[in-house]
Amino acid sequence: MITLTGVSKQFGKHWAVQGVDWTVPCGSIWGLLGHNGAGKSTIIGMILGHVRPSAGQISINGYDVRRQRSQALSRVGAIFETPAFYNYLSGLTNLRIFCEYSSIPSPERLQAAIRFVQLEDCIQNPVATYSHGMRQRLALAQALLPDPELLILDEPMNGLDPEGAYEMRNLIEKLNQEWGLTILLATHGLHEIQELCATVAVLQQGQLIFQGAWQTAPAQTLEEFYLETVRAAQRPPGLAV
Amino acid sequence: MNLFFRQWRNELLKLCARRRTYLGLVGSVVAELIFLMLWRHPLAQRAFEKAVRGGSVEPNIFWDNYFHGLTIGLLMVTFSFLLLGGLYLALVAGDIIAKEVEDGTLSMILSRPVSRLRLWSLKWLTCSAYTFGLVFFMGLTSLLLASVFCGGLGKLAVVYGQHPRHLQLVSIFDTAEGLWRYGQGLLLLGVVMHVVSALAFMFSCFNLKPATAAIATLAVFFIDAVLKVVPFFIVFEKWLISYHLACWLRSFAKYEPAVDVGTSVCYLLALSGVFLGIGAVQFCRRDFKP
Repeated sequence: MITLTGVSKQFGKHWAVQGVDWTVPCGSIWGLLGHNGAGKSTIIGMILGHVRPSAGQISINGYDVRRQRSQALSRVGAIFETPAFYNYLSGLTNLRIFCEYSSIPSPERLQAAIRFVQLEDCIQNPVATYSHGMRQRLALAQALLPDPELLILDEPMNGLDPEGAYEMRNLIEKLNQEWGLTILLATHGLHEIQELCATVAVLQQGQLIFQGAWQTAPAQTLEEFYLETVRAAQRPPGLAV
Repeated sequence: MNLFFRQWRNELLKLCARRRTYLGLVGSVVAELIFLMLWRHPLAQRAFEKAVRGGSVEPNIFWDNYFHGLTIGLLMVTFSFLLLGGLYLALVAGDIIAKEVEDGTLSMILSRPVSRLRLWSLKWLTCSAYTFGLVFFMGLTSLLLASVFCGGLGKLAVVYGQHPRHLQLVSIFDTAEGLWRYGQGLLLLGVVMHVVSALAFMFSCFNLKPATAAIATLAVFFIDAVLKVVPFFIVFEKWLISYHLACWLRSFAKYEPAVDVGTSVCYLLALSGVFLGIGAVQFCRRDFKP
């Protein structure tokens, strides 16, 4: 579904991402893990075409993100850490505006998305009156409107209370299992990834140090796996454990 | 095409739903009312009479026939645009992209399969609509207020000078032709003011805060206006934006060669084209860091 080949990004003299080769297959939930500043958001920015790679190529469903942007992003939905909306407009108007950048949504589709995120009661209210959790759900609704095959979530649980985070986790799981969506979840929160993802990609200082199934032993926690992976990457090459 | 117009309608909706958009409209009405109040002072009227003297109309005849809605309305538009028009255009056009980048809504939009050039075009069309909207709003409210407070439309007398101290009566028109000329003047003002919007819009496409884009635009016009009044730089006058911006007033002169106004309009449109070109390239190439 998503293929990154030799992708690098340089901001000034700093390499934010270096030589990343990564493939996300259809139908999976992949976690993108890394410390703050590891390059997670830059990779997501490059996948969505917000950031131009300094080198390498990114494709979604075989379409190059830079050259065939419309085809590549036609079935992609995205949510960011702080979902941004036009606060002075209602939730419904916001949904319409964002969706109409790509296509005109049918009223049924709009209603289905609103129902899915359980915002029926307040969809006519200005977004300024929404809590953070409601804004996240509205963001999820706007991401679902183009009938996506791929959902990209950048720190979607940040700022949510435990109940909101639990709801969001359930929604993500439901979208993968019932709707068959491929999900890419970037976060530095290990708990969400442990709950949701069987496969992860680990970034450290812009380099991909691991990709694949993280649970190699039945009792291993993600925290143990993550620390082990990061420490192994920090060891000088050739040094045995 | 249907989708494009829907998207443009949404951009206009976003613009119209913000309180800041109406700041310009309210501000212009306040400026017009201040002008009317100041105008009622005998000193102001005496100064105006002095400017008219030496023209083709006797001051007392002028006072009876021309001191009404059309003439005062035109003076009010000139005054309010000089004072506020550029400022509001710089604020709105400088804000239109930079604010969306700052708020994060542009990242949400760019996650959609919409091309950057299309998005840029939608934003620019919105700026253009606001430019015409502001000019015509100022023009019509000025005419309305001046007609109400100064006894009807009257005839149109145009007073103009490249420098405020060198004002003179350049032409007079009866009511029907005056109204026609007034409308044409507003249209021309709307066209030439696009240079302000285009410059602010260009800055908005760069990685700048909305306020910085507006201030940068105003700084350019401030320097330009200062250069225009410095006597040593008179040789550069015809390169200055403010000289060409005044072409909408020069177009009222009966014997002004059309080529002069045409040259100014072409100069300003070319300049706007350059600003827009730079803005488009920058917008399409830049990174929007998450």
